[in-house]
Amino acid sequence: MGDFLDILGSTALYATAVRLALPILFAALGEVFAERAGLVNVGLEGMMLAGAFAGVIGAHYTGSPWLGAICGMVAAIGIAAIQAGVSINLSGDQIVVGIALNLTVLGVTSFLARAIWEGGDVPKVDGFSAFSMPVLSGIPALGPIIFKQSILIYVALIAAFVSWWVLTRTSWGLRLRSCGEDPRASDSLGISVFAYRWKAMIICGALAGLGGVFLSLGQLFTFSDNMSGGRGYIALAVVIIARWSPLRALWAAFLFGACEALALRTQVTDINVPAELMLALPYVVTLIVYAGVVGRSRPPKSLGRGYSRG
Amino acid sequence: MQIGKAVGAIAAFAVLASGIVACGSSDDNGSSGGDKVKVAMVLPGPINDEGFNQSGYEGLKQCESDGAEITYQEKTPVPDFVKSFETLAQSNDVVIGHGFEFGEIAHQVAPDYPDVDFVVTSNPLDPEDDNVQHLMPNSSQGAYLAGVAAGKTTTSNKIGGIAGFDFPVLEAQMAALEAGAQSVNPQATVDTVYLGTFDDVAKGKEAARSQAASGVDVIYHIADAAGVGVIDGAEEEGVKAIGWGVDQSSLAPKTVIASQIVDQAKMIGDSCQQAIDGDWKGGLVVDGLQSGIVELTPVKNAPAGTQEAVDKARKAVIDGSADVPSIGGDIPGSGEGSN
Repeated sequence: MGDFLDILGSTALYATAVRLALPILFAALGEVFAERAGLVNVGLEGMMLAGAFAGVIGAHYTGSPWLGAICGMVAAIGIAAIQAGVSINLSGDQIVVGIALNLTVLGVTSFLARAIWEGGDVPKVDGFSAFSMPVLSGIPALGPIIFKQSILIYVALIAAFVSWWVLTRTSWGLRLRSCGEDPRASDSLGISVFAYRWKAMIICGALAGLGGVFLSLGQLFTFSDNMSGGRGYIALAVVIIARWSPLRALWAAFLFGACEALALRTQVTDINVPAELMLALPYVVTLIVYAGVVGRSRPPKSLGRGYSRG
Repeated sequence: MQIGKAVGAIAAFAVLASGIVACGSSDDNGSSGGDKVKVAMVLPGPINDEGFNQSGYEGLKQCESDGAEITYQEKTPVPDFVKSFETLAQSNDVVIGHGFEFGEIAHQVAPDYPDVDFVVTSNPLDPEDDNVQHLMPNSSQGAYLAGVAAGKTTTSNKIGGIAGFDFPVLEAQMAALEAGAQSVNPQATVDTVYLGTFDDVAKGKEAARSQAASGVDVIYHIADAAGVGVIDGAEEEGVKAIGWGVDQSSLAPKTVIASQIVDQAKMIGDSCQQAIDGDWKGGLVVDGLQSGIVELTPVKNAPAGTQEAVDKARKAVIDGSADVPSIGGDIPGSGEGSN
């Protein structure tokens, strides 16, 4: 038990949690935009993977991680555009399209990695390495957890607050949300449902792409097959337990990351819990939290429903 | 109608795209190679994982340079094992399943295809069928040497092990690692972390960093693609690492003290050569340190005397005086293991 408390008190645990949470946070923020506009975007996983891959390609050929990040975002936006075109303009089944896109991106990125590099052996590239923020990294506890990370952590934190502000404090955000609640009423007031849903999906693609870029350029500096490893699906769950709020997504993603970090860390101690049980911890906690919030959560009313005029 | 078509087209493309990667054939002149021995391999993971699957693929490439015509199917999900084996058995002379889990599949399929040679890697059991060959590298011997190097190198006496899953063959190597470490450093202990994945590189990296945070100063992995992340994490935390499968020192030259070589490729290539020469036989083939199938690369970045200790242990393992915990099964001289 003392061991366990030592672990809970260690800053390294929370630093790990933050790194594990960040890609999920980026994707979840994107998903909040999409779902608030009435779109279930299951293609999140594919967008992350496309972002991770294109990020490495960009950074490899330009030598600049920033240009790599832009490539990653553009690639993910490309996937988002397919999702948007089929689900918004053609009213196709949003979930089917998303799953199809995930499978496609998994196949295409693995294939391209092999086509570009012999045996799929992707080289290391320059990325966003961790660095210590002057002064701030000296703060006890908080310093090593937040201020000794990749620069992308600040991008994520800013993105969370800006998303919250845009969605809840601007008339643009209000109109976007109205498209997710009652698109017909919005349409009758002259709000272009198609345009808002398209914009929401593009924002979603850009943020999910950044999530992928964090994995490839912020953490590992290379690409490997299926490196998103299901984080896009986790982000979908995070959005629900965050009740479609960007700020709560911050905490929900961190909670998931903390459970994953704990699962890795407790295995190194004398605490005799089976490894399988520890590895299931993040999912079990997600379920428990979900059970706790499910009564109070209310999804956007038209979530997942296509809209056609007339 | 239009919508249905669009969705259908995307779905079809998705299936196609994942299929492109799942099946590969390096032989372009298809039907013309009539008298060549045809060898097919089914792999559970990607061929570029810097570990287990890659070494299997390299074995297949050796078959090709030995004159065989090759096909492979990578990233094969477990439910497709039987189907893949049956399909490949219909058009090939040799079908290789890369991994112990193919043992049962081979036993199931082999009686229906008596003219096909089935090969299963990493399986310590003596096969029941005449046309099944099990190739078992005695990897625990290499893990023991890795343990000796780790035991000599650690100053905190805490050695970390990171493995994909708690498969018996991996658990045996972790036990051998600890035995090797304690043979030169009785205070050394090994703490093993199971990732629940072989390909989540980010998770491998965070596992290594977590271990470093808990005082571990040498990390050994058996995690394939995720192991690349393990070495990366060790480098970032300034602790030492031991590679697995192939020589991994190029991943982090100042961090990796040695790599445990498990030359699946040579065993597979030898089996193909037998098939080509016509003297292939079913049964269990075990090989280890003695023939260099299992090895530890020369030690570097480690305290003086480490290489000497490893060399001494190598002699002891080969002459049988060192007690190496092993997976058991039907490996001769492995005690009464039940696996």
